[in-house]
Amino acid sequence: MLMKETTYSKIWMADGILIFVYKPLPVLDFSTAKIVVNERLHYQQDVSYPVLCDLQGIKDADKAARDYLANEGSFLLKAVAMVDRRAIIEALLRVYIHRSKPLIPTQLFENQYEAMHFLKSYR
Amino acid sequence: MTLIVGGGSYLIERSEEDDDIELVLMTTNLLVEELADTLRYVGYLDSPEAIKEYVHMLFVLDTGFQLRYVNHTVQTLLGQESDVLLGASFSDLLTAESLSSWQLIARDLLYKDNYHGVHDLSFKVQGALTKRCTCAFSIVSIAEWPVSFILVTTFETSLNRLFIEDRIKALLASGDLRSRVKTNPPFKLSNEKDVRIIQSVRDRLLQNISQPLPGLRVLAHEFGTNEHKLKNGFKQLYGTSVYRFLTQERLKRARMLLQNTSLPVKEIAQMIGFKNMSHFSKAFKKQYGVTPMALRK
Repeated sequence: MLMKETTYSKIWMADGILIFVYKPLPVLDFSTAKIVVNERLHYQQDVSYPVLCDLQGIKDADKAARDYLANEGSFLLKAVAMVDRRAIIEALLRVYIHRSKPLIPTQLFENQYEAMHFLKSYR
Repeated sequence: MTLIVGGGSYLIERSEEDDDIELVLMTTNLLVEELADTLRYVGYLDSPEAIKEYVHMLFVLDTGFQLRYVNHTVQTLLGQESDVLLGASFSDLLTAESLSSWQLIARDLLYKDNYHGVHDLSFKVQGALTKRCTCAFSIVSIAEWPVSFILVTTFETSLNRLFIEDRIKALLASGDLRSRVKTNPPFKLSNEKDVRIIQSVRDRLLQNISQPLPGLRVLAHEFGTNEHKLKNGFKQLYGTSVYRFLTQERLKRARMLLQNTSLPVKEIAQMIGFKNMSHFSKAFKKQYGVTPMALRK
């Protein structure tokens, strides 16, 4: 599948893995999260994939968005590998995993190579 | 201090930096969000109908988006006097992050007939704080009035006990209090362990959404509680029965799949755990007012 540019992201496939890159976004809030998920589902159609999610465009995500992504945001996803090097994102992800309790395996990596390696076992 | 007494209303304004200070600011904001949720949660434990929503801030704008009226709550929450606010542009009140969203809303207000929308925006608050609000926007045009105006309202949820005082005062005034005391007290989970058990049940249900629901007695036993506590505790915490919660979550997923994929309706029904199409269709219509097929079109 070709690269698709949506309102808040760029999405494409590589090696049976969905690659999802957020565009620069100051705050990921609940209404944005809904659009993000709907556009992703549109792209995927019927098939479930592991996803590599590049967070470098995100500065912050509020609780409503995090809770939504942890639940509804996991539809048609097998696992998610987030990619970001910032300490603030590491703190955010820790709270996301422990408090929002995502329904699918979720881990943070500093680079895409480690992320892809993690996701390959979920293809 | 504003953060502490704000009860979760305010957050610290963030920057683009990625240093230790920014990490502390972000962690503080995360704590505030959790605190706000916990306050609401505790309020819910106190009473079966703990959450109230009410209009909080009220702004009236002209069609040039200048402020023409603000209610008293706007002044107290944003920390500005009305003579400073009136005549300013609505965009002056917003953080930089919210400006692009506001531009889209402003465009829709001007060009869409009878526009009404709900959007989240962040307001600047004195002391480099921000306040994120859900705002309802409406354009108001009345035939006899020569000008249209724009109404912006924010609403807030609040703990019921803030309203209980008013209710008690009203009851005392009507002399009715004694007769009400005799009604049966509602079920209340009595300890933290029971609350955590119910939360775990909810987590388990979400993780296995398309699996058939085991009987409540079996489920309760598996989590170390009894059927009575599970049934009533779940209702107290989440406002709905276990079965209804499961159905609502399944239907939420169905709606997302129906709207965003081309999976056949029958397959969606099976995927989310409905045993047959007619049951799925009926439940869907009850929840959303349309059949799954109609939504597809």
